Amino acid sequence: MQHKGWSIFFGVVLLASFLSVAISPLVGWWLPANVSSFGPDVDYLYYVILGFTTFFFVLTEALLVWAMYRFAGRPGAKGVYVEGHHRLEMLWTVVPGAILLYIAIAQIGAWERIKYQAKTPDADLVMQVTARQWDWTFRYADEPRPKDARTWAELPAIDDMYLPDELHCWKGANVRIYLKTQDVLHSLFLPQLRLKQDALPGKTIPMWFNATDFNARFNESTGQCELMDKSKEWEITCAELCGGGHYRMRGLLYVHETKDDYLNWLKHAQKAARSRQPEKKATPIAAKD
Amino acid sequence: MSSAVSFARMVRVLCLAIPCLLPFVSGCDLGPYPPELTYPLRSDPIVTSPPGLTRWDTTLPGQLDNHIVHLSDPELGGKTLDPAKLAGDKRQQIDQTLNEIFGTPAKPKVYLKGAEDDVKKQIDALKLDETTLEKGSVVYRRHCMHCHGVTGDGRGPTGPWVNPTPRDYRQGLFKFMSTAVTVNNRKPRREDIHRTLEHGIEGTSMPSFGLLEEHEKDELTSYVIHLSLRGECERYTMEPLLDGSGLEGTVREKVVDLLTDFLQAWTKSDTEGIKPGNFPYKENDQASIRRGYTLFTDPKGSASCINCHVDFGRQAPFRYDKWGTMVRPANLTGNVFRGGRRPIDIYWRIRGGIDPSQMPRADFDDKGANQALWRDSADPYWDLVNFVQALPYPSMLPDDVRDSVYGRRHEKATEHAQR
Repeated sequence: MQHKGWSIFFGVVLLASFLSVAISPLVGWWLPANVSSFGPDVDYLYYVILGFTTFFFVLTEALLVWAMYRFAGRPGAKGVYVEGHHRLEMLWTVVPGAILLYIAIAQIGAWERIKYQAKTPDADLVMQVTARQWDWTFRYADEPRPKDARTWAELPAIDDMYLPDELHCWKGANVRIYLKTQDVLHSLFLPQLRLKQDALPGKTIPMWFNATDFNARFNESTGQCELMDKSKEWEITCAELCGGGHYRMRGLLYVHETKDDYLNWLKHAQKAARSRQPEKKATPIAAKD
Repeated sequence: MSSAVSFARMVRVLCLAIPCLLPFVSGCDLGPYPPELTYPLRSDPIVTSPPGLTRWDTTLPGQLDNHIVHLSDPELGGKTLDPAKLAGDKRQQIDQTLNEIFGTPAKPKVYLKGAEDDVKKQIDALKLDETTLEKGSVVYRRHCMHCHGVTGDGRGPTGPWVNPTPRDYRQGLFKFMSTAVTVNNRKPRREDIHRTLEHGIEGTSMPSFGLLEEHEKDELTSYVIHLSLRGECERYTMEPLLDGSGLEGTVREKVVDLLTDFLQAWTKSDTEGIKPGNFPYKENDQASIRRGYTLFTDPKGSASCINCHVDFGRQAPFRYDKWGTMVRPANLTGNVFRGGRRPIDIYWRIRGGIDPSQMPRADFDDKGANQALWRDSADPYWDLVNFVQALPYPSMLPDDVRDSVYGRRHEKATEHAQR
């Protein structure tokens, strides 16, 4: 057992990290439930890559720990010099090469469906999102679908509605977003929709999604959009470190069940945004202990 | 080497390494302020009268304090007072009195010993009770302090690096308010502060805090009022001591007097808002927009906006605001509205002015003096709002107005190119 301590220590640490990943789906540390039409494609690629990397992680780390254990602390033992092993080198070049080639080909379909402009379906709902340090502003057109969406993205109209931090759409709608940033790099990340897109200064970047589930309903009597249940709070985050307030650059995704419910909400929100009288709402509720 | 020795060495290495790595695991949780921390007494110059000039350059990043110190240079002509010149005993008295009345950052309060009932009522109505303030200070520390500073001086660690500089609450001055103009010493109403938190301020570094819990925004509002009251009492107690006019009574009496006045102003402001006239037009009323344009551009009229918003704000120079910082009349063709873009927000600014930035209010209230105005128009205030709202959108303007604002050469260009 002489000098074997470190190999045992690292073996235990690696085993523990492997096990913590292995049990994470069971304890809720895994990906949030997918609600996007193209989510399965993304998840498939994710699992394929995870499978490959897990296999090689276990293989190489096991070899490493075994070698540390087997050859530790042998005073006087002579090292063996390996001056090249052609077959072995061929093997560890060809196998990863083949895997990379497979991934490169396997992702083409998903990339095409999600990112190709030519393949983007016709939009049912268009909005323009502006990132800044540190919040999101969602600009909604008067109609869900402005006539010339690309022009509208660059040229705001007088009846647009600006809403900080809230993205509203409805289930099954093809939503097109034109993403901009006012200052530095940001990245619009919707984990439940498996969608992530960097925002680059000076560029307007189109992206799209279609939500297959809903989480919100507009309550006409309160004038609020209510989440169906607390576990369905779908967060929008910034996925590109953008400064000191990066952590708080959040938003919420509200997917309404039907287009009508969305339109009801939109009408209400537009009325507030075009208000010509002070809001009736009294000062908000006081804090409760 | 025996295995016992090698094992002992391994344990030693791990004992050193693990504590070094632990901070990365635990992260940082920003709770309440440390209980022993007190609000530091003001040390930066008090701007009593900002320079009256306009200029084309603004303050460089990180140069706020340097900029304020130089306001009183003869070539600028501003007036400042330096709190460092306060006598030691007065400093101590002010510090002690403020701590006694306003507490500490961890335990903030607005407490007047033996106050009359109506003062207590005002404190309650403004929600300045200790429970609310204590919670507010925790939220403030986490989200606001890094720009607005511990005392609300706008000099937190990130404060000097952003432009425009974060608001310094200690002067009791605020820009975006719906408070009636008849109120003396206008303060924002609670809902004004709440709205600013909710939406942030477009075109500045103040982001939206809309996703905070409703009660957190409410607690923050109370805490901002607390900081403003403390800072304003501090400032106006120091001022007579520094400019040589002296105090009539003790420091404590002065602070109590001031606090009573300010509480009165905040309460009165909170209850009295600007009441806009009913909107007398249809959407995009071209005649109304044209009248708004005339009001805006008439250099001698009751509004005369064009005098400061030169070329509709596209060629407006910087000037000094009451904080001593640089401010520029808004470029109204730019479609950025700091105080909010709802018609009512614009109405409030036109009708109430932005006092700290030295933007006067438009005043057509005297129907005798403005007879012609009220004869031609159903409501000249709404005419101005309509024009300001349509201004960034060339296609929304009547042809002659568009030509005058954007020039004839753009006539055939696409709207995109125009802007």
